[in-house]
Amino acid sequence: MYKKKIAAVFLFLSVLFGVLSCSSEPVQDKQTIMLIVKAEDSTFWKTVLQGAQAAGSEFNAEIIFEGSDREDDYETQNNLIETSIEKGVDAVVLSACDFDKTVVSAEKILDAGIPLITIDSGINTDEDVLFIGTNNYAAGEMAAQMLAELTDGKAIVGIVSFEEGSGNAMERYEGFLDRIALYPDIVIADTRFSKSNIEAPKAAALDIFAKNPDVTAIVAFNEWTTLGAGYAIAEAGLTDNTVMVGFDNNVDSIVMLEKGDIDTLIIQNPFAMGYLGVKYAIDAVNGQKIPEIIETATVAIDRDNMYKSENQKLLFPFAR
Amino acid sequence: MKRKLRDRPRSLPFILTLSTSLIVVAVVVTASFVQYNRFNESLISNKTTNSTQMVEQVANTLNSYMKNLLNTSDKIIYSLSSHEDALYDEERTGQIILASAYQMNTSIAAISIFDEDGEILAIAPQKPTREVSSIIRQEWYQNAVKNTSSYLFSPPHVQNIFQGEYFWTVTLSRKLDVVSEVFPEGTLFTLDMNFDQMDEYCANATIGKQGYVFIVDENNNIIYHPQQQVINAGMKAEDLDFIAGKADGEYIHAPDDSVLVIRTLDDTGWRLVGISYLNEASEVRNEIISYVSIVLIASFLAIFTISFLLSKIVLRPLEKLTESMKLVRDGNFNTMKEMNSTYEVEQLSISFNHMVNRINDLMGQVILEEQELRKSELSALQSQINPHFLYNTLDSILWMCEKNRGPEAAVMVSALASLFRISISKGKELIPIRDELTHAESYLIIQKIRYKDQFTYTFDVDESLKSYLCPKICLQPIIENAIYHGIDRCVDQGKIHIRITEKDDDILMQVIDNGLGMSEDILAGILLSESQNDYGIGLKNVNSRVQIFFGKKYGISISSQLDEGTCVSILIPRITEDVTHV
Repeated sequence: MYKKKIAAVFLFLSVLFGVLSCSSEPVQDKQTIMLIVKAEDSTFWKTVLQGAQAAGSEFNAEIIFEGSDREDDYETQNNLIETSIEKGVDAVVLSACDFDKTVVSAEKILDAGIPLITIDSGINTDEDVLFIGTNNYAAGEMAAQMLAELTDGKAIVGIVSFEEGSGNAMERYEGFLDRIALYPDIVIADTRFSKSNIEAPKAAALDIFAKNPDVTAIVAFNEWTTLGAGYAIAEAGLTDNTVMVGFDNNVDSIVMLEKGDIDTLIIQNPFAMGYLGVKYAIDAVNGQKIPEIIETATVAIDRDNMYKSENQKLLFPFAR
Repeated sequence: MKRKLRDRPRSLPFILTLSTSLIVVAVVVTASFVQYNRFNESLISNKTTNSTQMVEQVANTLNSYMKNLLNTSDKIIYSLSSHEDALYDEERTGQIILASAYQMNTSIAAISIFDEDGEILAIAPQKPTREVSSIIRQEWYQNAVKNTSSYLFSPPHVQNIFQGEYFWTVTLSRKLDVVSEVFPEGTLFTLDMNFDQMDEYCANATIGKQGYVFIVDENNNIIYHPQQQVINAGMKAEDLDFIAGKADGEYIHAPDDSVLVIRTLDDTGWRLVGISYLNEASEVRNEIISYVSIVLIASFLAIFTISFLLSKIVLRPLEKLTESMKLVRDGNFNTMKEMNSTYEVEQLSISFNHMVNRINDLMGQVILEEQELRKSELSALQSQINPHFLYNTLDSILWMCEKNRGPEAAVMVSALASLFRISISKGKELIPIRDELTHAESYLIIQKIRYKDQFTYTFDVDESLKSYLCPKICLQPIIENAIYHGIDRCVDQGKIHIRITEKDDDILMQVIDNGLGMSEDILAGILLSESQNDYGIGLKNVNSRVQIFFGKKYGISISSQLDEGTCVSILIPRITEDVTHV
């Protein structure tokens, strides 16, 4: 009788051991993060992708990179956003084409329980969505400040901005206007909103020069408009007569900066946006608490300081 | 003497379980602790050894790589200065030398030769170059020009020597002392190396899951880092202050729990730093801890189960034994069932039963002996009365005969005969009440004659009770008391009334006199065994006998009032058979 009991106890213990030894943690799978940007072809977005991939390899995540063809093509982007649900990705890092029109699709994936991080361009939502990017209003102010310094506070300015629907464009524009208003001798002669390609802003800038021959300064608010306006200055032969402040670090922009077509570039930190976007996306997937907003730094770089060690690092992405 | 609760002795199963548990836990914990410490030490030293090996391996590769690059540079410079066999002019020859070297070595991004003013004399690859002014204001160029010693390695910088092209490079430069028309003294040789090879050697040098190597120069600028752009973008920083000034060796970097291995590379003055994280080791550590705790829990369970079984097998019978002993303590001398448990317990139970049986036997014997003793004492008492009484009676008879009172003497002799006949009663202890009454009357007849009619007596007897049994000679001692102590000293004529009635299921025998009576304190002490009062002896004797025969419920009760009289009642059960001799 006792032997039976002892046998029963041993059986119980061995089962217990079996259960305990089987319960070791499963190996964590590689997470899939979908990075959806406005367009795939600019230096800015390529650098964002680099940052995302750096974070992906550091934190063991696979990055799916998507973007529409044109930065104003919110419909294509909305479709891309919604495919993330079917693809079953773990999180989405998004730079929204449109501050308002992207919201519906973005909220769909939030409803599907997919963590969403916005970078560079946010969305107009009440949901808690982390935004990582430039303080665009401050960046606009910085552009104004640079322009004022370059012109000694006396200029007739033409503005070449980009998509009106983009929150970034409007914030930079407002920051610029608010700051430039401090200088009574600086007047805005003309303002154009153009699409994010080279031809449209170039044509817009040339048109500004044609209609306002006395324009002494041009400001452009993103990579494409900076390129277009820069080319326009070169083409119009106004390199020495016109001050130009632009955005971002396209190689051609840098060449024009060295040549003198462009005088100051406001450099954002797209690598940090991509890197932090993925990093916090992974944190969100792992259920960690993440902040609501992270501002990445901007610097103003001109011909004289562009080769300073710390500026080189931001101006020229280190590529392998 | 109450014990406090915590002083209560613990039961054996509790002590057994607790002590074995404590021992096992102590052993497991100590063993795990020792093992854990040894493991921990070996883990850290393993980590350091691995890290060191990896760093040294990478350092060797990088050393030979850099040596190769320097050799290439040496050869180029040598070729430039000794081209007697040149087919072309010096400038053209220089260009060819540079071009072939560039093509031979994939880790070269550009090779160029500048004159004192920064004009490019020769360059490979041959691409349109930037204007002099934009090159000579570069920091790397200015440092290279200032350098007078052998080779100089720049920190990583962006090279803008080609038009519309920017690339990150480390520039190796050397002022040439080659004196010729085309390459005069002060000519600068530069070689821009790309990071392809370095990346190949370093990026794969992972130490553990997260460990890596990076290179810093003498001024603590990062030359190469696997996450170079992450660092450039300000997303990550190495603790360069920690590394600064440290000699080659292994260091524990406490803030992020890592091991740093530093090795200086040949020729370049660069230092290779390997970082490996101990928290990976702590994962293993945690695994061990969780494993140990599982073992601990399992052994706890095992101990509890085994203790439980032990108590079932060994201790349960002991508990039974304890219970039986408690019963014995409370006076219940029953034997228990023999237990077939372990040998010791079995022996214990057998011995216990043996002891209980022996005690039972001894106790029975004692009771029997005690009874016998009492009986013999009582018989002795009974017979003690007789001689004295007989002497007086015979004296009276003699006196009557002398006075020729024959009829009276005859009555007395007849009564005396009746008295003795019943006294003997064939040795029976219990006799019918009828006989007892006869005995009492015989006694009264004799005493009445002796006391010359000082008292009268009456009987009031329920006829139906006459055939029940009562202890032999139980009325006579009481009547004797009534006469001697109640009536003898009384002036008035005494009356003795004997009444036999039923009371509930029992029989009440009463002797009532109208004598002197007793005070309450005499009455109270009269039946106590210690009483030395002479008239108490008879009463006590009767009382004892009634109680021995019938139990404590029965016996004598007395009510008395001074100058009024005394009533002595004997309560006995209704029995028809003498049970004492069965």
